[in-house]
Amino acid sequence: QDRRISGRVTSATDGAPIAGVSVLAVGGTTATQTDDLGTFSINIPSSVTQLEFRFLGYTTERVDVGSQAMVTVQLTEDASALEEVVVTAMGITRQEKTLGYSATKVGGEEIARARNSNITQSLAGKVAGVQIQASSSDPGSSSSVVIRGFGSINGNNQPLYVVDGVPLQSNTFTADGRVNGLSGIGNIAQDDIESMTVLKGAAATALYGSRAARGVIVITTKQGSRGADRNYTIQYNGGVQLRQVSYFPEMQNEFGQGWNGTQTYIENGSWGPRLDGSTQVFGPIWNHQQLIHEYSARKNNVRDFFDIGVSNNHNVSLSGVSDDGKNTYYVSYSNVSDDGSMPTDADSYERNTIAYRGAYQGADWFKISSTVNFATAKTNSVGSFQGTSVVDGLYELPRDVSLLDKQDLTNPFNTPEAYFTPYGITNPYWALANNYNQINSKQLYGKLQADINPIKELTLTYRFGYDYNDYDVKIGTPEIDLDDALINEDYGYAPSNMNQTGNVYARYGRSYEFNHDFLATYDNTFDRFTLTALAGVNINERYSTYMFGQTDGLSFDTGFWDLSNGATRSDLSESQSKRRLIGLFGDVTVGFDDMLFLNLTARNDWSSTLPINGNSYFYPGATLSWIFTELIPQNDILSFGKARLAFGRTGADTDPYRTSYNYVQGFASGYYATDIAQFPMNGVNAFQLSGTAGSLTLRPEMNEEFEAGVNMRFLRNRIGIDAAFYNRKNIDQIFTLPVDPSTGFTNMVTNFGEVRNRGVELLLTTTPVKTAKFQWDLDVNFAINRNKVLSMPESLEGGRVSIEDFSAGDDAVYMYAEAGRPLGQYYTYLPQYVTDPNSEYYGRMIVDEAGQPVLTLDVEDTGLNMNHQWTGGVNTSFSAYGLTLSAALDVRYGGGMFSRTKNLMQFTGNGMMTLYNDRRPFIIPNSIQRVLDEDDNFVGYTENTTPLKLSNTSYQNYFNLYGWGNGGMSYLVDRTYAKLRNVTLTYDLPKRWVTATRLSGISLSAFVNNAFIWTASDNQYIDPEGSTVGPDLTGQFGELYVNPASRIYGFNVNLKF
Amino acid sequence: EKYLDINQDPNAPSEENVTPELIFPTAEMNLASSYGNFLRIIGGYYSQHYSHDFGTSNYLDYSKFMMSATRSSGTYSQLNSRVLKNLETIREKTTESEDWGTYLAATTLRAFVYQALVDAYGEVPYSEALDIGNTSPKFDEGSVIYAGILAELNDALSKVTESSPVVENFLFSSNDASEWIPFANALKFRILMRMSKVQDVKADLDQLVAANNFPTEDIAWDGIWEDVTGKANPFYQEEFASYFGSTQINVIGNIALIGTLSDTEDGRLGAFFEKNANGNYSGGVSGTNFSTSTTYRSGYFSRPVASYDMPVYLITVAETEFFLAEYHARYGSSAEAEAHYKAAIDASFATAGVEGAEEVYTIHYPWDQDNYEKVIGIQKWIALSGVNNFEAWCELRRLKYPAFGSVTGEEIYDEGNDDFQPTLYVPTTLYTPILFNTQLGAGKVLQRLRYAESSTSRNSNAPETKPDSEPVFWAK
Repeated sequence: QDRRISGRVTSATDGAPIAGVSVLAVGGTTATQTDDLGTFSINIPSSVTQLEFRFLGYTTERVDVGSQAMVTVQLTEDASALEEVVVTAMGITRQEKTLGYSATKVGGEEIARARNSNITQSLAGKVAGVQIQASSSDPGSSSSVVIRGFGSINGNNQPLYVVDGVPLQSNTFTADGRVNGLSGIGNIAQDDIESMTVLKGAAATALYGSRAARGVIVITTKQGSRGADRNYTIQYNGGVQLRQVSYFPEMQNEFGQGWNGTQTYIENGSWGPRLDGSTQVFGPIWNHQQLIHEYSARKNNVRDFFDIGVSNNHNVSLSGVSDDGKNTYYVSYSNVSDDGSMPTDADSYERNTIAYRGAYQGADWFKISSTVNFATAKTNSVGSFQGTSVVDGLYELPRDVSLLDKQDLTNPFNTPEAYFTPYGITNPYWALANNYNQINSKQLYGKLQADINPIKELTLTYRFGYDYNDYDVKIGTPEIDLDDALINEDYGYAPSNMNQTGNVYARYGRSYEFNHDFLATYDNTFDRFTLTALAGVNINERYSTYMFGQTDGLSFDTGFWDLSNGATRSDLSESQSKRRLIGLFGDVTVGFDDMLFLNLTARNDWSSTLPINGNSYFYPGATLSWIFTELIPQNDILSFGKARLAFGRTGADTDPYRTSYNYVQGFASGYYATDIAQFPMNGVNAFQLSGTAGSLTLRPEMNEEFEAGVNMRFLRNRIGIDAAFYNRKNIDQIFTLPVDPSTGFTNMVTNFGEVRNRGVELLLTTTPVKTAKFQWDLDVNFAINRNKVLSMPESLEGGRVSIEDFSAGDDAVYMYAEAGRPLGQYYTYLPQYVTDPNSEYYGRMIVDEAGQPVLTLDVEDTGLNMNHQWTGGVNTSFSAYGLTLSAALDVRYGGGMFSRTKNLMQFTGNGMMTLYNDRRPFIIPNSIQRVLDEDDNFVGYTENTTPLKLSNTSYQNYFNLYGWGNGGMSYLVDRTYAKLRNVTLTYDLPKRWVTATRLSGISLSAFVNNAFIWTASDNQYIDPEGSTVGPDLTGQFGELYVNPASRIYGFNVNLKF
Repeated sequence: EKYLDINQDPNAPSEENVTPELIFPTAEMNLASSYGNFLRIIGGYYSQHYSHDFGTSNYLDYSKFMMSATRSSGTYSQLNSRVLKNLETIREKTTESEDWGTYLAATTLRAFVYQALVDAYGEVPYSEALDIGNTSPKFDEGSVIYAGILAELNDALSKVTESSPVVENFLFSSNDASEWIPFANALKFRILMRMSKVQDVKADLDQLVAANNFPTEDIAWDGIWEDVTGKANPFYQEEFASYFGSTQINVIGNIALIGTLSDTEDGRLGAFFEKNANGNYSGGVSGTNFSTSTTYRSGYFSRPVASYDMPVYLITVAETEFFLAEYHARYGSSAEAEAHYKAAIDASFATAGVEGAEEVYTIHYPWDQDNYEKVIGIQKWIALSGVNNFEAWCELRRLKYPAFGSVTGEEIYDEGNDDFQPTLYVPTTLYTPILFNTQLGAGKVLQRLRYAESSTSRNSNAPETKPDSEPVFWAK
C-alpha cells in the first residue's frame, strides 16, 4: 500500500528553500514538485525506498527514505551547470550550456512587473541587440521588435513569435497614423507567461524555417502545477494605473495669433504681434457676435487639454495537478482596460483573454496536451494626421487662444461653423468628439499535441497548431457642410473652406493559420557521447480575407458610422490571400563528455509563393559549443566558461501573388486626391495593369549569419558575462523595386541587394551584494550594430532606393537604402555654402537676391540615418525584508528621424526657434550672394546686405520655406534617448501575516512606467520612440503629428491561494 | 506539386481574359486625370491665366514659374505606366487580332501622350520604353519622339477605313474609326506645326491641309462626368469639390488674362471666370498669395468657372483653325490666313458658349499678316485659357506671344505696403512674378519641367536635369 512522505528541500549554499524541485519515486510512477517554501509531499508505494531530487543547476540527489515520514534534503549547486533551460526550436527544451548560439531568456515575473498591456514593451532594454519600439504611448498601440538590426529592405524585420511551439499570426492595421494590432503578441496576457526566450541568430532559428529569418521569440506559457500544501493554486494579480501625458514640444510665449507680424484674427499660428495683455477680438464675426480675449500667452494650454487616464487590469488563474499526477491544468482570465490621456475614452483599449492548458499523461509512453487561448480586444484610437486631428488642432493653436473654454460643442464658436480659424485645423474637443476609429478583434489560438514513446529514447510528436483571427475596423470622418449664412465677416477666408464630405470606412476581415508538425526525437547516451536527433515535417497554411466599404457625402454629419450613411459614393473591395509551405527538417546534436557539443541542422522548404518550378530551397546550420571549464579544476573564481561558434542560413519566401502580372479595377490619381477616377464610371467597368510587375524568376531570399560568443560565470555565479559577435547578411532580397515609370511599371518584384548587419552584444549579470537579508542585482546589456547596404541594382541613380519619404510643397525628406551606406539614410534639400577652400568666402552660406538661403536643386545626403549607434540597458533590483525596488533603463544613442512636429513648431510660429533675433529684421549671418554678369554668368560673390523682415513676409518665409536656414533639416531630429522604462517597488508580505489570511502569498507593488526620458539637445519636440508611418522599417522614418507620449503610475496587488 | 500550386491572385482577372475593351476606358480616364487636372493647373499658372489665392500656398511655386522633380513625378508615372503601358497592351492585342480601328484609337492616344511628355519634359524614354526587361531605358530627343509618333500615326491611319470598328470608349459615341481619323489628323497637324519653326515639314503639312479631314467638333471627354467622388471632372474634384476632405482654394484668375479680357469686355471672360464677391472680375498677381494683405483676400479674386461636368478638352476646333491661319500666313495667302483666324475666334466663342467673336477680330485684334505670330499667339492664349491651359503654355513658348511687358509683378502689387495697382498692367503682356524662379530669371516663361524624380532616381541612363530656361526642341 501507499504511504505519504513529506519533506523540504533547501540549498546547501545558503539554506534557502528551493521551489520547483522534481521529486520522483525511484522505481515507482509518482512524482511531484516542491512549492515556494521548498516543501513537498508524495504518496509512494511501499516497494519504493528511494526518492530522487532533481533541479537544474544542482546536483541530483537520491535519498533513502527508509521508514521516515519526513525528509530534509540539501541540494548542492552544480557549478558546471547553468540554471537555465531554454526552449529552443520546435518546443525542444535544451540546457543552455549545450547551445552554440545566443539565447536570452526573460522570466515571466519580470515581464509582468510593468503591467504593460503589450508584453513586448516589457522586453525593452532587457535583451542586448533587440530594439523594441512602441509606435506611440496611446492605448492599444503595437510595438516593433527588431533583432540585430534592420536587414530586410522591403519590410518585414519583425521576429516570429512562437507560443508553446505554435507560430502566432501578427497582423497590424495602420490608419490615421496609428499602428494597431489585430492579432498576435499584443493579445497575450502578461500573467500567463512563464518565460520568453529570444533566439537571435540564423543558426538558432533555422529549424523554424522561412519566417524565422529575423529571429524568433519563443514564449512558454504557464502550465498546471501544484501549490503550497495543496495540489492547486489560485492567483489574483491586478491593479490600477494612471496615465498622464508627459512630453510636449516646447513653445514660445512671446507672440500671438497672426501671420507675418500682423494680427489676422483667423490665423492658425503665432506669427502675429507681440503679446501685450490687451483685450482683442479674434475669429470671424458670426451672427453679429465675436469672441474677445486677453492677448496674452496661455502657457499651459496644450497640457491642460489632457486629463489623467485611468486604466486597470485583472488576472485570475487556477493552476493544479490531479491527485494521481496524471492531469495538469491551468485556466486563467485576464482583463485589461486602458484609457489614454486624452479626455473621454476616445483613446482606449480593452482586452479580455481566457487561457486554458491541460495535459494528460495516460501512460509512460503516451501524453496528450492542449492549449486554448481566446482573446477579444477593442481599440479606440485618436488619429494622428494633418487637418482635423486633435494633435494638429493643439499644436497649431495660437499661443494666446485658450482651449479650456472650447469644450461646449453646442457653441458655434467651438465648432467649424465659427471656429476662430478655417485653415485646416479645428477645435481639438470637436475633433475628439467627431472623429471615430475603432477596431474590434478576436483571436483564438492554441494546439493539440500527442507525444508517444514507443521506446524510451524515441519520442514521436504530432502537433496541430491553430490561430484564427477576425476583426472589424470602423473609421468615421465627420462631414463639415457650412454655408457661412451667419458669418458677417470672415476676415478673408470663410469657415466653409473647412468643408469636407465626411466618410465611413468599414473593413471586416479574418485570417487563419494552421500548422501540422510531425516530429521524431531520439535521445541517447553512448558511453561518453550523448546524441539528440530530431527529424520532422511542417505543413503550414495561411489565409486572410477581408472586405471593405467606404461611403461619403454623409447624411448624418457625424455619429452614425454606418455604410448606409453615404449619399454620394459607395465603394466595395475585397481581398483574399492564401499561401502554403511544406518544410522538412533535421537536427542532430552530439555531446562529448559534457564538454563539447556539435549541432547540425538542415531544412528544406517548398513554398507556394515562389515560382512553381523554383519553389524549393535548402539551408543548413552548424553550431559548436565548448565548455572549457571542464578542463580546469573546479574553483571559486571561474565557475563556468563556454565558447561557442555558429553558422547558419535561413531561406525566406515572399508574399503570395508576386510571380505574375495582375490586372486591377481601373482607377487614376490626381495630385492630392488618390482616386480621382474610379471605375465603374458612367456605367462602364474597366481594368488596368497593376503598377507592380511580378517576377517569374523569383528566388528565395537568403540570410547568412556567423556568430561567435562566450559565456562565463565568476565568483560562484555572482558575475556572468555573455558576449556575442555576429555578422549577418541578407542576400538576394525580394524587393518591390521602384522602377522608372517609362518601363510601363512603377515597381517590379525582383531579387537584389545585400544588407549586412554586424555587431557585438554584451550582457553582464551581477549580484554585487548578497546576504541572507539583502540582495542587489545589477544587469547591464550593451549592443553595437553596424548596418550597411552592400549592394543595390545598377539601374538606380546613385544606387539608392527610397524606403519612405515625405513631401509637401517644395519640401521633401527621403529615407533611402543606398549602397555603401547604412540602411535608412536621410536626404533632403540643404542650404548651400561656398565649397572652394581657396575662396575668401569659403564656408559661407549662399543666399539669393531676396536674402534667403539658396537650397540645393536635388535632395542631398544629410549624414543622418535611422540606426542607433549603440543601445543598452540597465536593469537593477534591490531586495530586503520582502521589499524589492527595481528599475529598468533603456538607452539608445545616435541616429536621426523625421519629425513633422518639429517642423510644425516653426511653421506655426509656436516653437522656441521662431523667437530668433526677437523676430526683428536680420541679415543671415555669414551669408553672401552670387554676382552674375549681364549674360547670367557667375562672376563672384558679394557680401549679403538684404535683411529678412516680417513686414515683407521674408522673415516668416525664412522659417516656412527655408527651414530657418536649414532647408529640410528642419524636419530632422536626433533619435537619441535614454528612458527610465520602469521603476517598481514591491512588498512581499511576511509569511506569517499571509498564512493568517489562508493565502500563501501577498505582494503589493507600485510602479512608474516611462518615468522619465532624456532626449538629445536638438530635440525639444517629441519622444523619439513615436512613429506614425507604419510598422517595421517604414515606421523608422519618423512621425507625422504623433500624439504626445505618456507616463503611467500604477499600483498592483498579487494574491496567491 | 498541386498542393502548392495556388499562387494565382483570386482578386485579379486572368490576364488572357482581359480584352482591349476592358482596358481602353481606364487608359482614357488616367489620361483625363493627368491632362485635365495637373497639366491644366500648371499650364494655367505658367501662362499667367491663373495666380494664387490668399490664404493657401499649395501651388505658389507654380505661380513663381517653378517646378520640382518630385512635384511632377506623379503625373509622369501615371502617363507612362497607367496610360502608355495599357495602350501598348491594347496595341499588341489588336495587332494580333488585326482590329485596326481600335489600334488607331490606342495609337492616337499614345501619340497624344508622347507629345505632351515631350512638350512638358523635352526628352523622355521612347524607343526603349515600356519594356520591364530594360529598367534603364535611354532618353530620346524630343525631335526623335515627334518623328516616331508621326510615323506611328501614319502607319495606324494607313490600316483603317472609317468603318473599322473601335471598342467602346468615352471619347466618341460612334463605335468605328470615323471620328478617330479626323482626331488623328488634328493631332498630326498639331505635331507638325509644333515642329514647323525648327524643321522643314512643309510637304507633310501641305498634304494634311489639302486632305482637310479635321474634326468639326471639339475633341473632349464630355457628358460622361457625374457629381460623385471618383467620377466627376478631375480639375473640379481637385480644386472645387469637397470630396476629399477640406478643400483648399488655390486657383484664381491672373491679372494678365483677366486684365486683357476686361480691356475689351470680351464675352469669354464670364464664360471662363466667376465674378468675385464684389461682383467684379479681379485677377491676382503671379508670385504671391497675398499672405500679408488685409484687403486682397479670398473672395476678392475671380475663380475659374468649374463644374463637375465640365469637359476635358484634348483638341478644339479653334486650335486647328489657329494652326490653319498660321500655316496659310507662313506658306499661303493672307486672305486665307485671315479667314481661318476669324474661324478660330468664332470657334473659341462657340466653345465658350458666348457671343462677340466679331468684335474681337474686327475691332480689337484684327488680322495682321506682318505680325501673324503675335495676333495668333495672343488670341490662342485667350482662347485656350478656359479650355486647355497646358496647350496655351506650349504655344506661348513656341510663338513667344504674349510677350513680357516692362512692368513687373512687384510693381503691380507691393506686398510690404499692401498696395495693389491693377491699372499698371498692360493688356496682352506677361510680367515677371513678384517672387520668381531665380534659376529661370526675370522676364522669361518657364521652358520645361524638370525630369521626374520617379524617373531620374531609378534610371541610370537618365541625363542630367536641364536648366529651367532650356527650351524644348521646337521652342528653340
